[in-house]
Parts: sequence; structure tokens; C-alpha cells
Amino acid sequence: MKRVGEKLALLLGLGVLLLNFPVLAIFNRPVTVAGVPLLYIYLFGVWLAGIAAVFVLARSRWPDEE
Amino acid sequence: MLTPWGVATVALVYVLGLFAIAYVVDRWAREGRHPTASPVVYSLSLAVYCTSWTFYGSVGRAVASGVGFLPIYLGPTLMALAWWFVLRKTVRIARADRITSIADFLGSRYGQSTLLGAVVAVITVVGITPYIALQLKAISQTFEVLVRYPAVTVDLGSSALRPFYADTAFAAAVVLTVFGIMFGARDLDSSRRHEGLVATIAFESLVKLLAFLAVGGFVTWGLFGGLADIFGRVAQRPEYARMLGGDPAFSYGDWAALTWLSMMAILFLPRQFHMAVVANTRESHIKTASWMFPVYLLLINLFVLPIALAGLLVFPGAGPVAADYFVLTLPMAAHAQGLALFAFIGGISAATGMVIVESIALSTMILNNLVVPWFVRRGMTRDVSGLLINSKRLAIAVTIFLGYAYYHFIGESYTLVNIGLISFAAVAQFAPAFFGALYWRRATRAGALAGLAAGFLVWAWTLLVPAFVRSGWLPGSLLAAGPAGLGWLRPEQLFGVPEMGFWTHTVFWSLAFNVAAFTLVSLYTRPSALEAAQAERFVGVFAPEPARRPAPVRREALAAEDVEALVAKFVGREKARAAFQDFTEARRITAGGPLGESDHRDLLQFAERTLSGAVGTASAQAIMETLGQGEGRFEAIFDLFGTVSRSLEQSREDLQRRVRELSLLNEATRRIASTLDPREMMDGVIQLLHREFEFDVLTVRLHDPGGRLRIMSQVGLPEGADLSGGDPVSPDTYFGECLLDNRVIVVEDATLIRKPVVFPAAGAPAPRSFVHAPIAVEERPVGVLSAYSSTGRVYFSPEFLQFFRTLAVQLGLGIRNAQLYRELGDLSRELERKVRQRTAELEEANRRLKELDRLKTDFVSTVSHELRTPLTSIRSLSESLLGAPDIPRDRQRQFLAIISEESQRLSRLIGQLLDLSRIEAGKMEWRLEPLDLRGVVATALETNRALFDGKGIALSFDAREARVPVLADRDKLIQVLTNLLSNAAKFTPSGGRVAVRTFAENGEAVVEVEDTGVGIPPDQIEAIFERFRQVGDTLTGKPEGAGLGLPISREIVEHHGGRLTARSRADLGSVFRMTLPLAT
Repeated sequence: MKRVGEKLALLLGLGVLLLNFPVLAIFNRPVTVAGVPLLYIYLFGVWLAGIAAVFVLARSRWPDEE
Repeated sequence: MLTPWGVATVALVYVLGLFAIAYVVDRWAREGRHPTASPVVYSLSLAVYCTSWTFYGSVGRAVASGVGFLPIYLGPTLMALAWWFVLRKTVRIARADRITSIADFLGSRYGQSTLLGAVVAVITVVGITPYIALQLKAISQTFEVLVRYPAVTVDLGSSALRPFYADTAFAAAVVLTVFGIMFGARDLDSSRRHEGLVATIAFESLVKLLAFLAVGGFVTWGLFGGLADIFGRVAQRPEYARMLGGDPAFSYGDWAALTWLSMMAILFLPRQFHMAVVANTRESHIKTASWMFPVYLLLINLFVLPIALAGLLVFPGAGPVAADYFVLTLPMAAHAQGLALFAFIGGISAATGMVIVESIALSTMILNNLVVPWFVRRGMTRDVSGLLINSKRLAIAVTIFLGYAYYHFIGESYTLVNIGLISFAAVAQFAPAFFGALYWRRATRAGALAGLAAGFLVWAWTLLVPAFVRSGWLPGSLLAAGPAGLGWLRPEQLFGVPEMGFWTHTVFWSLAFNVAAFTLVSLYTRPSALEAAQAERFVGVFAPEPARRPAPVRREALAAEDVEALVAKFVGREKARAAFQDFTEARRITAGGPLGESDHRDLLQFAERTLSGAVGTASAQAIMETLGQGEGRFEAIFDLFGTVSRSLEQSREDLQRRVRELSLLNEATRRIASTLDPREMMDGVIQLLHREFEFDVLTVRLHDPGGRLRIMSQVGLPEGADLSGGDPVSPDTYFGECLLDNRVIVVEDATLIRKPVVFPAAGAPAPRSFVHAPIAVEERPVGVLSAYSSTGRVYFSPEFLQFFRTLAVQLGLGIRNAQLYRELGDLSRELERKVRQRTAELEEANRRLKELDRLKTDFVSTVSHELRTPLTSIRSLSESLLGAPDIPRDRQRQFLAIISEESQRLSRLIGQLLDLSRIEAGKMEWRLEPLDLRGVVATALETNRALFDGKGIALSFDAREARVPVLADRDKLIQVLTNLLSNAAKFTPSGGRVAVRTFAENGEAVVEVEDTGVGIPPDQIEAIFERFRQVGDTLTGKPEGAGLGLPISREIVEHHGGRLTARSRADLGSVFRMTLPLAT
């Protein structure tokens, strides 16, 4: 996989976007999904997805990796 | 179980366990085993980020603001995405310069500034001390809460603050100080990774995570029926429902501000910088940590909200302060004593880990950026290494007890909940200077100082002042009305903007002033040469050719031990000795003497780096500056190119030097190109070097076919030096090594080397410095160009060496060209000779062809003539007969006789021609048989006897031998003999004699026919054997035969392997001699 640098930057931008106003406000409401608050699910879900993305990226060579 | 002594014992055993881990891992490290050099340990050690503020405080923050605790962990997760670029770059730089802390990093980048380092250190100490206080408080308070079991209360009253000797926090401070000193300050080299410490921190990270997960799991599934159960019950309590989402008081501004603060904190908090940068062993670990560390954060936060909500359900009406202890009080309330104890140990892990690493990092900063510069400024002359290490130990103690003092005297008066964030905001002020350091070459020291000052002031005004006010240290009117009634300066509402969240306010204004001051001042100030150089090194650390730090220009050389002595003053004699031993061994320098300049320069850089590890970069540089300002042995050296340029300001000089180099190179090339004699080339080059650089001796050695290096050209050796011998090529000489390894060998001080200097001049002074460069032809070294200086040590600058090497390469090319030219010349001469030879051959062949052509033409004309003569007479006579029928009959007969005779002649001639052509074409048929030559001759004589009798010639036949056997064609022999006899008869006048002899001689059969005829002129003897040559035509007036008889005879005899020759004396007759091989 190539362009790891760009993908990491994209993830960073996406993370900042998803975890801030106004996107965050979409999910910041008193709604529960299967008894669990939507906001809680959303935050941990985005968090986990981000980690998973980096984990997948980490399986290929990163720029300048020795 | 949860008695004061019981809890204290468990805590003590746990801490002793930590000591054991640190001790064992340190032992392993000394034995060369490094179990901590793994990405997992690296990621876990980064989790020192999660302090007791996380362990206990997150739940408190959750109660106060729902998910408001999460930005503190989402920020680092986001930052981890940029780690591969930002953190890895920092690690690379820090390793190269042995940087020990963030203060050191910034100070080094901005011109190795002591002032900047000190400012950063002060900001850090001021900002972090409350944070340490918070940890101590957590240990103390949780202990108090725990030992009250079975009562579950957080209302500790005045008993919480005991006198120090009975205070848990004090005991903790003492233990942590001991730990920090033992495992973080064993020696002065702070750039080294203390593996025992790293292992301990990683272990503690594991413990606190497990403890928190255990409590979370117990609360969620033990006390309640799972997540949905907790959330469901809370949803029925309207006063808590806001925590589940849709809180109208939710501040997105503060959310973003806290995210930003924690993003910066994960880079700049002293403990994070220490663990992530200084203790990093491999850059690739950063890659793993980029996802593994966020996983850790996610796990440790998973149960924060459930625990907070569960706490609210179990302890209705609990406020944020009580919520801080839910992690502990929930298991206590459920009488899970073991779990409560485990949670307490987890909290201790979180707190102690932070305090240990933070205090070590801070002590390094204090020492390197505050204490050592002060020492250096005072001008130190004695050994301070012991003093320094003790200062560092003291600094650890001071840092921790500063925290204790803060907690003891100030802390209780104001809630410590936000103290973590105050620290975050303090270190976030490093962001502009830090990112400028990494990515903006133009950033200057003044800009960094201005930005830090502005940011720090805003931070202090907007965060510290309100904290002091709330502690009652400052009047409350300051917050309400502003200083001196200036409302726009109210600390929590700068410029009167009312709507901003508390954190948004601070972050925005401090960052705004910080960035503005940093960029503006940077743009309006010029970086000094050193700043520019450091900027290049930092920003361009990943550039393919790392920009080397320009070596300070020093016109004098110091002895290695002088430098070592200076370093020893700071790092201790033993460490200095060990380090310098490594250095000198690696460079193959014999200790004890002065050094060549390039060694010298490297030595100074090495010394500076060694010092950096102990006292920080700025101090190290300042210490190195003191070198040479007092005692010390200096020796003059001279630089071949005048000066070594140091920075951009000297680029003009640099350029001029470059021009000189190029013009010199140009002249050398010209000299090489102007001749095709290798010797002249070598002489030209070394004379140029001699003229320009005043070397005492210059030589060119070439590898001769005998395998020795012989001096082919030289300048400066004494008259009569014996150069014929040459030296064997071996690695035992420097020039031999140069040739064998095909590389430049430089010796700047021959008094310090081991190999003998082979120098072919008995009388000349021994060289002090010299340089050898290989002369290579197509990568294959064929010789060595050498320059020797006897007058003093010489500093061969890198530029000169480059030049010298290029010269040797040019010389190699020139020699190669000359060689090729010579070979080409030889080749062309050989070619010319061959062409001449071929031409001569061709000319000869042509001549012969022409001759043959002429002969053929002659032949044809002769043949035609010979054919026409009889034909003419036949024709004229037959025409006469036809035209005149009345010719008398006898006359007719006479005519017819002539016609018949001429016809015979014609047919004979044609027969001869046919024979000749057959012989020449190889188509003659030969019937070889054993014959007695005598008989053949006798037959021939009988056949031709009439010729002789008719002319009255006496014919004799003499045959001595009884038998002369030959292998021959009888008819052909008779043809030959007939020809010889008829010739004899023809040319012998009447009354003459003809003698025929047959005999064997020397293995040959011989027939001789001797006549007493007119003979043949000697010059014509060979000619008679040529076709149509008739000698002595004059004799008979009319030629007899066509002159083909003898050539044919010769062909026949030669075909039999014999010879046909003639000898003659004029007027005395001729002898024709035929020889044939005798048959056996």
C-alpha cells in the first residue's frame, strides 16, 4: 500500500472533523441505541474505527521506515 | 484487611516490587539483554500519560460534564496519527544531538540558547509542580478513604491534612524521591535510556489499566446488569439524563480547546517527551505505538462513564468531589475489599509513574538549563562531576517536594480538579516554537522567546490568577472588575468577550498571542549563523545529506587529554576515560599526543555531544567555548586553503576558494592534457602542487610490472636518492594501503601513527603530515600520488582532500590516455608495415602478371606467326597449283612436296602446342614404367642416327654402367632425347662430333649430350628453355621448329622429378644434361 503519509493526514483531518462541532452535534442528543446512548456509541465507534484504520495501515511499510 | 497498616503494607510491598523490577531490568541491561526495547513496552511506557487524574479524575469530570472527559484522550489519539512525522523527526534530532528534554530541544534549535532553555525550564517547573501535587494528593486521599472502611465517606474533614510526619503524601514523596534517584539519576548521562525505569513504568501502566478494567467490569456486570441497565436507570433520573447526550450546557468550544491542549500535552509534557523521545530505542516503535497507545487510551476510558453513572445511582446526590473517588468507593460500598485494594494499587501506579518520570525529566531540565549554565557562567575550574550528579539528585527531591509543598500549603484551599488541565495549557505554549523548530527555517530565537513569553503571560493571567483568587491569595475583585478597575483585563473575560468557554478562552488568547509574537518577531529578526545552521539541521534532518553542524573555527589544536579533562569535570573521570577511549580506538589514534585537525574537530564535536548528554546542548556548547581560554597546549597549524568557512556569512570566501580550486584543477588538467608522455604529466602535476601548496616532498608512485611501487616522478627528494628500488605493495605502508584499498589516506600527525613512514630519502627531514591518493585507471589503482610536509602538522581540509583526489583521478586518466595513444601508435605502425609488405607483394604479383600477360601475348603472336608461315607457303603454292594448271609436272611435284613438308611442320607445331597446353593444364597422360635408361637412349639414337649421318657428324654413345634403372614414360623420354639429339644435329656443323653419355651419379640417372656446335652465349642459356626462344637463328637463316622443343622437354623432365640443364662455351659447343631420379 502506498501513500501512507497522505492516508494518515486524511485520517487526522477526518478525526478532527468527526470529533468536533458541528458533526459532533448531530450525535449529541438524548437518544439511545439498544439502551446505550448514541453519543457514547458514536464517540467510541469513531475512536475504534480510527485505531483500526491505523492498525491496517501499519501492516504496510511507512515512508522512510528502515 | 483495609486497615491503615494493612493498606500501607500492601502499598509498600507493591512499591518494593517496582524497585525489584527496576533493579533486575537494569542488571539485564548491563549484561546486554534489553527486553524493554520493544514496541509494546514503548507503547505502555507512553501510557504514563494516564495519571491518577485519569484514574480517579476522569470519573469526576464525567459526573460534571458527561463525555467532557474524553477530549483529553481523543487529542492524543489524533496526535498519534501525526507521530510518524512529528515525533519521529524529533527522535531523530534528539538522538543526533543527545537532547535530554524539551527545554534542551528548543534551546538547541534556537542557536543553542541558554536563555531559551532556561525559560522553557521555568515555565515547565511552574506549570507542572501543581500536577505533581495532584498525584501526591491522590495517593494521600485515597489512602484516607480506603482505611475508613467499612465507612464509605469522602468527607475527610480537617484530618486529611496531617502534619507531614504522619502524612501519607509525605511518605509517598520520600519513597518516590528514592526511586527516582536510584533509577533515574544513577549517572549524569540523561540522554541514556534508563531501562529499569522504563520497565517499571510499562508495568505500572499495565497494572492501572487492569485495575480500572476490573473495577469497570465489576461495576457494570457485578453491581448492575450491564451497560444498558446502567444507562436505562440513569435515563429515568431527569437530573442525570443530560449526561447521556444532548446536554444544553455542552460547550463545543471547550471540547475543541481540550482536544487541542491534550494533543500538545502528549508531545510536550516533560514525562511524555522523556518517554517518547529520550527513551525511544527504535523509530519503528513509533509506528506500532501509533495504534497501540490509542488502544490503551480507549480501554482505560471505556468504563469511565458507566462508573460515573453507577456512582450517581449508588450514592445519590454525590458531587464531582465525591465522584473523584467512585473508582474506590463503589467496590468499598459493595464490600469488595480485594477489588478496592486493587483499585487503590492501580491509583498508586498511575500516580507514582507520573511523579517518577516527571521529576526525573524536570530535574534534568533544572540541571541542564538552570544549574549548569550558572556554573559555566561562574567559570568553573575544578571537577564538578560529583557536584552535578548530586545536584541532579537534589533536583529530583526538590521537584517532588515542591509538589508536596504546593499540595500541603495551597492545594487544599482550591479544588485540584482542573490542575491537570492548567499544566496542559502551560506546556501547550511550547507548540509554536516547537513546530517552528521542526518546520520553519526562518524561526528565530527572539521569536521563540517572544512567543513563549506572550503565551506564558496570558496563561498565567487567565489560569493561574483565577486559581490564586479562588485560593484566597488574591482579591476576588480582580476577577470581577479586573486589575485597577480595567474591565477588559478581567482574567476570565479578556477584552470583555463574555461568551467564550473557560478553556476556549485561555487556549484561544494564549495561542493567539503566542503565535503572533513568535511569527512577527521571527520575521523581523535575523537568525544568527548558529541559529541558521541549527535550523538547517533540525528542519532538514531527513534530508538525504544531513547538514553537518559547521565545526567551530579553531586556529589552534588541543591535546586529546585536555579535552578529556574538561569533559571529566562534568561527567566524571571514569566515564570520560571510557568515552574517550572508545573514541580514540574507533579513530585509531594513539592516546597521549596532539591530534591532526580533522581528528581534532571530530574530537571537539564528540566532546560536545558527550557533554550534551550530561548537561544539555546549550551548556555543552558554552562549556566548549571555554576551551582554549586559559591553559592548554596550543600548536600552530596551517590550513592549505587559508581558512575554513564557518557559515553563510563567509560564503564569499568560500566561493573564492572554490574558484581557486577550480582554476588549479583546470591548470592541472591542462598540464596533463598538454603531453602524451606520462612522465611529463606527473612532473607537471607535482610541480604545480609544489608551487601552490609548498609541500616539501611530492611523489608519484606507479605499480610496475614486477609488482612494486616505484617512484616515477618526484619533487623535493634530495639529489641522488635511490629511487630505483621501489617498495612492495603491502598494507604495511600507508601508500600500499592506499593502493590496495583504493582510497585516500590522510595522516595529519605522523608522530601519532603506528605504521612506518617509508620515505626514500635518508637525509631529508622526516615528514610530519602526508596524504596519499590512489591514481586509478578505470577503477583499478595503478599508482599513488603523495604529498608530504615536514615543516609542521598540516590540516587537510575536506575541500583540499577532494581536490587532491580529483587530481589523482585526472592523472590516472592522463596516464591511461597516454598508454592508449602509445598502443594506438604501435598498432598503426604495425599496420603500415603490413600494408607496405602487402603492397610490395601485390606489385610483384602484378609485375609477374604483366610479364605473363606479355609472354602470353608474345606467345600468341609467335604461335600465330609460326602457324602462318607454313600456312602462307601452303596457301601460295596450292593457289599456284590451282591457278596455273599448265605448270610442269615436276614443278608440281616440287610444290606438293613443299606443301606436304609444311603441313607436317604445321601438324608438329600443333602437336607441340597441344603437348604444352596439356602439360600446363595437368592433362597429360603419363604411363610410368620401370625402364633401363640405357636402352631408351639407344633406341633414340637409332631413330635419329640418320640426322647425323646425313650431315657427317660423328655420333658416339658411352654407357658406363650396365644398367641405369628409372621409372618413366618411355615415349616421353624418347621425345625429350629426340629433341636434344635433333638440336645437337641442327647446331653442329658437318664434321663435328656429338657424344652421348649415360651414367648414374649421386643417386641420379644422367644423360649428357655434348656437341661441338656453335655453343650458346652464357646470358642466353636459360632463355633457350623459354617458349619460342630460338637462339642462334642466324645459323641456319631459318628457324627449325617453333622453339617449343626445349620448354616441353624441360616440363617433361621436371615432371619426372628430374632436371634439364645446359652449359656451354662459345664456339666450343654445348652440353645438355638430363637427370632423373634413379629407380631402386
